[in-house]
Amino acid sequence: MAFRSEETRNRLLNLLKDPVLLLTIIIIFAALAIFIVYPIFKVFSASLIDKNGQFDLSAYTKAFSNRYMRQGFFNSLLVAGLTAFFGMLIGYIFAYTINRTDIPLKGFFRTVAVLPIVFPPFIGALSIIMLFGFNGFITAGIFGIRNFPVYGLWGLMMAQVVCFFPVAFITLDGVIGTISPTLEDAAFNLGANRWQAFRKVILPMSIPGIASTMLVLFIESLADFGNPLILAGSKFPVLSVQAYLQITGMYDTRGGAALAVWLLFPSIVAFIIQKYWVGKKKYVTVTGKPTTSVLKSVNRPVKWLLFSLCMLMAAFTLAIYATIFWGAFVKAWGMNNTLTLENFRYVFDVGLEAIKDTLIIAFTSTPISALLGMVIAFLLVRKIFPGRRLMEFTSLLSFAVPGTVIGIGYILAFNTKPFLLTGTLAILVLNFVFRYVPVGIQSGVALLNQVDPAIEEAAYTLGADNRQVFTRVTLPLIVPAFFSALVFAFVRAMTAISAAIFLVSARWNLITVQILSQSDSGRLSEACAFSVILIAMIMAFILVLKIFLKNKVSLSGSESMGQG
Amino acid sequence: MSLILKNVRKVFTSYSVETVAVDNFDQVIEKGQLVTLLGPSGCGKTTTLRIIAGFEIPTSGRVLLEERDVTNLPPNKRNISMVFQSYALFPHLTVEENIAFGLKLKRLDRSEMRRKIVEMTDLVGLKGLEKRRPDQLSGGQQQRVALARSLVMEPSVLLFDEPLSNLDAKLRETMRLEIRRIQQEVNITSVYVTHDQVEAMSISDVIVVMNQGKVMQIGSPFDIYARPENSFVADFIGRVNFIDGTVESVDGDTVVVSAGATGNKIIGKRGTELVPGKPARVVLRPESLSDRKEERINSLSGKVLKYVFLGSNVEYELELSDGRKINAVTYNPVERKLPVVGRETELYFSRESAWVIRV
Amino acid sequence: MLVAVTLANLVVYSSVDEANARKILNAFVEETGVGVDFVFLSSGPALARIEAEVNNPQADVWFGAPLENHIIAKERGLTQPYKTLSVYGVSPEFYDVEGYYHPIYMNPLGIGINTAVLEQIKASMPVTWEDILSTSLSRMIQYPNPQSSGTAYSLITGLIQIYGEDGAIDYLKKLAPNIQTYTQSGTGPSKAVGPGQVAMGIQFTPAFFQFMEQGYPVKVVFPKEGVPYEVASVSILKGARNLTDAQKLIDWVVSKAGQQQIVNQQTYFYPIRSDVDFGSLQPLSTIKLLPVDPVWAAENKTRLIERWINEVLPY
Repeated sequence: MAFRSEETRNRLLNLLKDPVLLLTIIIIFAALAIFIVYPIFKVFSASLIDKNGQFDLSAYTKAFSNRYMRQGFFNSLLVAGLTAFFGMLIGYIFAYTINRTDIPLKGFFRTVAVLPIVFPPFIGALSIIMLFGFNGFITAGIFGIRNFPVYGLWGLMMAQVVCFFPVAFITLDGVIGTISPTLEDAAFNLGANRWQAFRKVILPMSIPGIASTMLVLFIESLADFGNPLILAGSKFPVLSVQAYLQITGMYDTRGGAALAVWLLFPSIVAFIIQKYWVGKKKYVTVTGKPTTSVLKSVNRPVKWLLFSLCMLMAAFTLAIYATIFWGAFVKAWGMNNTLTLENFRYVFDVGLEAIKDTLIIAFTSTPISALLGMVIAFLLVRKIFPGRRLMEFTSLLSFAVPGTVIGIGYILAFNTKPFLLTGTLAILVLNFVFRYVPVGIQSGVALLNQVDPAIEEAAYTLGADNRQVFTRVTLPLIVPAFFSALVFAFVRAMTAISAAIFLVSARWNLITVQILSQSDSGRLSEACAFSVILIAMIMAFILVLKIFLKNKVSLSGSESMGQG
Repeated sequence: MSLILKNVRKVFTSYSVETVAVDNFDQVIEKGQLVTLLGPSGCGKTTTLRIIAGFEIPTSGRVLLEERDVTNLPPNKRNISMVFQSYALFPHLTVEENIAFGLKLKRLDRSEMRRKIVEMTDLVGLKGLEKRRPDQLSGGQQQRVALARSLVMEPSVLLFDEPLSNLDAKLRETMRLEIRRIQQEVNITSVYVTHDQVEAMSISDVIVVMNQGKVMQIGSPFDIYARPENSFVADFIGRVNFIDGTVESVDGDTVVVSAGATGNKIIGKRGTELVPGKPARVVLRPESLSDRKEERINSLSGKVLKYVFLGSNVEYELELSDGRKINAVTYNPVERKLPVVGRETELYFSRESAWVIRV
Repeated sequence: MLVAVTLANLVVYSSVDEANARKILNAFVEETGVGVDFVFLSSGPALARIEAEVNNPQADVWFGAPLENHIIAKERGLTQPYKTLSVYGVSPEFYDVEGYYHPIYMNPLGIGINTAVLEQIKASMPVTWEDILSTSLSRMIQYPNPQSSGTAYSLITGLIQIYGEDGAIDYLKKLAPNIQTYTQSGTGPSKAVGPGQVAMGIQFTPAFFQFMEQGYPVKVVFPKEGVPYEVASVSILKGARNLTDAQKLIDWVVSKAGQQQIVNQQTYFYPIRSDVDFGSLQPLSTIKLLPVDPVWAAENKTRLIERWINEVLPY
């Protein structure tokens, strides 16, 4: 024991000799405590303490004595489970087909598979209704089906699958892409047929990736708010919407907070499993040169079957976007197809401020978020300090917390001194920074794990201190992760709604809130036009980055997390 | 006295299981020496090196560099440079920029920096490659850059962490001569980690043989090979035969061992403290055995089990009458006759080559 | 910094939709010269916000949202009274005698009908509430969920005025087979009616008029048994920093000049004063309004919604 205390003393002495590192760690801990833990704590305490400041569990007993709310809880789990499964399945089919067959149009499929990361809230769901509703272009227009159950489980699941399967594709693309084809060659060599090679080699090797993907989708689906608000309908209550409605429809913050806490549990459980159990398993053990073997994983009929499935999904995805664009350029969505630019004129007239605000907020928060993500990733992977595990957990926590909960937490937490922030630009920026920082951390950690630590150690032995190592060596080496985080945080900041709706103010407004209010007051085409502008701005941003960085950046470079 | 390790100990704890990685390492390394830490993987040699560098904090003990306690100094303040197994070049910088990295941090002025870089590229033989990036260089060239990058800092101590194990066998031989040449030319104190005994023999002033966190023996390459202090060192360095027996008598340096069931008496050299009547082990290198008696006073006889003809030498295996097996090597087999499998053969060895240690 | 620049402006949380709020408030700015900043927040989030911000109000005025919400705000001590002289000539069920909340406009609830879809399914235009029970409208109507929407709750309390409580629940039960979905938000039905994804929607009517204006084939019917209505109200928040301008807004919006602007600005809202020119709006005299006691409605809300959830929703 004497030895250990001497080591601890040495360690502390070492840390003290490096004030910059020490200070960085302390500041990050403080920021995580204030901007992630404290708001969540506020939600808990709001649900547990009554008006007179007494401890009181009645909000919980009330919420769950209600059959309807219990139904909401189970529906949430059901739809999350199904979305996780089908989203993963489609993502897997895409990833497998692109990596293991020689189909044409691979670039097209890759693009389409990541497109729904930019899924405009509300309008995306509305266009599902336009496609599958009573007069839906697909159900009624093509198949003559009038009563497709677009409201409820199926419609909601469809929207969520489209919305979240890019996450699955990006992860699984990485997994399958790194399984060396020589392994299949070896399997063929040992007498396996194609199906056996898939079932015995490829599938088992991608199991951790599949599990991880499903858990992430599960969490995203639980937290999703924009889609169920439009598509769930009252016969299929889901908890994220119920929590929101409890607060905004029944004016019952305590009850809403209690529901939100219930929503938090499965989410955190899934997060912990994903992080500490599945996440520990290595996806692939293969390193070295990616061997380009002749692709012969599937025979011709299967190849074209997979191609057709991908094509179907791509067509479906594109149909949603086409519907939105069409809505933006016609007089009356679905009723009067006269082309017009009137909607855009209206948007620039009414919404110019919101567009400017959104851009300012996004451009302020995303670089901070991405940089902070890299710094935290660096500390987590490369430094040993007391509380490292705790820092990891809290910094990733906001991913598992549904936006509604965070939004409520922020107004509860930051409306009184000492953290008086409501109504400012800062509260939106801080919210976005800490909500989307897990993306940066994840991609930073992933990339840093592939970087030989000796490279940084070499820099230390050459006299560089922690700050110099980070800025001159680490950051240049993980620059792709930095830019993926940047792109991702930008996309999410531009499309965020669930938390942001509580935080916008008279001086700082967002496009997404505009989309909601426009479609609420019957201006669907204008809402579509806002969505188109939103999509266009995000695409322009990615394009500029791509040109600027010579194609080193793509949406698929990041592991996506945390739906707005 | 350049580098002193005082009672350095390092314990790793994982899931409350303690593993002793380095156990009371005590060593003084003189200015200009090249000391090699040699041992199988997991023996603690790399951990020791990383403690010197400052990447690991010892559980107890101190590290002194030029009379200064550096135990609690971060790596960047120790004036120690390191050459890594993976070269660890900065992939985003050119050869020149890699070498200049530390100089820039020191804020050296431009002309001075240029002069040093030119001097270094000359010394390690990288002329003409200054503008290349690491991925455009061969492994050997990359390791030269790593060496130059470290040397240019004029560190008090230069550390090598298995610097040659990623190179192919041929290149490894040239590079180790090269490293030794440069090390002696700039007369820099060096600590070198390897698991390759040949490498260790060819390069070191002093070899520290380690096993399971413990120092097994410290000595010159000759001592380590010819005068091992224990079975581990004898076995780890080169090939060896062990003949176990009982000490019959000790007379100064000379020991008589009765070699078990064969009843042979072996007259050998005393390697450790030995007590008559207690067990002892005779360490016998295969090349010490000869089929010619000449001056050799010890002999063994047995049946030839098999042999391998290797051109310059023949290796063969002999079964003694008590069933023990002995390896032998004879050189210049073209001049001599090849052994015949199954034939009873007598082999001879000198007193000097029978090194007797405690078991 | 920013705060200093904008301190002069009146900060408004508007639960009136953005475009209409802009129209009304612009007219106010033009006539009075007061600077206004506003943010759109639908009534629920607005109340949640105001409550959370009670120790440090970010806004001066809550503009819009039905009267019932303003009663809640009053009861929770979120607002402050102001007795405006402009209320002379306004019917007393529209405002608070203590001066905590004031009317902006009213909206009758009605049935919005997509005539194209109606033709498609060969159903006839309804005239009464009974008409929409017709089997030809199976799964062809949407109305909001009262649990989430004040609109739907108004529908229930209105129907209670016609049928009595049990009769109203019974009516909604009979209507259930014709419901395609209960939407989550009060304006949800119009979003499906406009583009023809359902034949009819029941909600407050301005959004339907909006769709009509944009060229969607939408018509509005006020059933002749009578319709409930909402009174969009305005309150001054407790701790308002810009009290003078807040009071100016109240004075103006309740006055004849302000009410005339509600019509003139084409908001499709109904003024709460009868002494203004109604323009192209269907004259109020042809619509039978069903007044509901807001206090009674508020007291019974939880109970009635529970009944709806348990008795109507499962069908």
